[in-house]
Amino acid sequence: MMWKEKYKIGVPLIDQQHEELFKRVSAFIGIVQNKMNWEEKLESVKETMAFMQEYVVFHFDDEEVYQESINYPNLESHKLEHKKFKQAVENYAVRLDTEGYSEELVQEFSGRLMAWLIMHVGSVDQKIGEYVASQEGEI
Amino acid sequence: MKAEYINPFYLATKDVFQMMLDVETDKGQLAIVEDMIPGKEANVVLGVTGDLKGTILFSFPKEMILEMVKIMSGMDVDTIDHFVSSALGEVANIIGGNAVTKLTANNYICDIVPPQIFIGEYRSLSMASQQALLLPILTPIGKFDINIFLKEK
Amino acid sequence: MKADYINPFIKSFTRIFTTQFNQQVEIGELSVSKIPIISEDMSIIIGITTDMTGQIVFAMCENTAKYICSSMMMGMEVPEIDDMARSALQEFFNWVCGHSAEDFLQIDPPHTIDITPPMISIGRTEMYAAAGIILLVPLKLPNNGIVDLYVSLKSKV
Repeated sequence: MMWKEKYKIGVPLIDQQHEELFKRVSAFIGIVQNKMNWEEKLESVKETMAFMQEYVVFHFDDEEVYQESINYPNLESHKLEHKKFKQAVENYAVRLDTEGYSEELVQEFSGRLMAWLIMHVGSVDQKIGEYVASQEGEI
Repeated sequence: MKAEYINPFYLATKDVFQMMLDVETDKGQLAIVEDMIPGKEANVVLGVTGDLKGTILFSFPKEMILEMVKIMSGMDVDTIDHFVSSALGEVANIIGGNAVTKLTANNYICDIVPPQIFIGEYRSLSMASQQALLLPILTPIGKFDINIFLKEK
Repeated sequence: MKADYINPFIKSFTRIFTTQFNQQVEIGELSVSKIPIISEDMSIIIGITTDMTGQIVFAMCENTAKYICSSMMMGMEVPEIDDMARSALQEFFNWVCGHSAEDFLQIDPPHTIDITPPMISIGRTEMYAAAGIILLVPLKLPNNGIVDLYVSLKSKV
């Protein structure tokens, strides 16, 4: 399980979504890395990947709406981070479609995804929580 | 080589290890490397261009890489495959990005090449005529080296 | 990654051999490389930044590296890859990539590239690059030695 308590930012809605996102990414990585034969598990891999991807978009959108509602000062730069990540995921999706779902390419995607997510939630998103706390209930 | 451009890489590494892995890092004794660097099994290379030119080479023992990815994924990891190398590459990318920000604050405007990962057992690496600084880093999960070859433009 | 991106490096490599060493290099067939790149013996790695990002890897066996060194040193014999030989290799590959920068300014749209000093890796290695597809072109030298040119670049323009 990838999720760690320290990733919580103190905003229940966002924390719940982050935990769900980590769960889906964990499930995806779990299937990619298990010892099953690649051909046999390819369908599950594609399913969990799609399941995870749709939640990434849903969560980013929701989080941006929340940031806007609290007049978060770093909204624009944060949106840019989300945009860059969605683009990277898009690029992998295109590569997987054209080059085929090889085990290596899917592994490469899942490795980067995991590291990026930990960095984003563990560092960039924490600032949302810090801002909220600094406003001391004025939100 | 100056502290102003070595420290950003060390501090970026320290920050990322703390934030992404919950691992404390301590500096070992700085040394000068003249000839070939005996690489450990997993090496990550970050090329640097701009006000500073050169390479940052992180050298890790295999077990440490596996442990790092285990911490991030919460899963048992026993081989260096595309998943592991890709996760490692992204961590290095993040360190590089952080270092560039710190370098800019020190008035060095630089660009970083996307990381390249080298896996192999008996290998040595060299920047030919340039001297390198070897900074050993001690952590509870293992010891790794940051080799720094940088020259001011 | 476009096939066009590999041409400037092929051109520079072959041109240096022709103009500086008076030797012909045979250009092999372009293919998509497997990942990781497996280098059995030696490789020279150069990083690229600015309008393009990624790496160029020249992989070869020790004898072929010695041949290039020898050509750089006016036919002098090179018994081992020592300090001087490594310097010569660094200079040669720096040349190749440096000259390629001029060609990248001429493509559409023009790309400005900056290159890192070459790094030499000795010993069997598996290399993973971060810029997606890696293209491979084998370059055959007059001694029948092969330099495998791997290019992995992404345009930022």
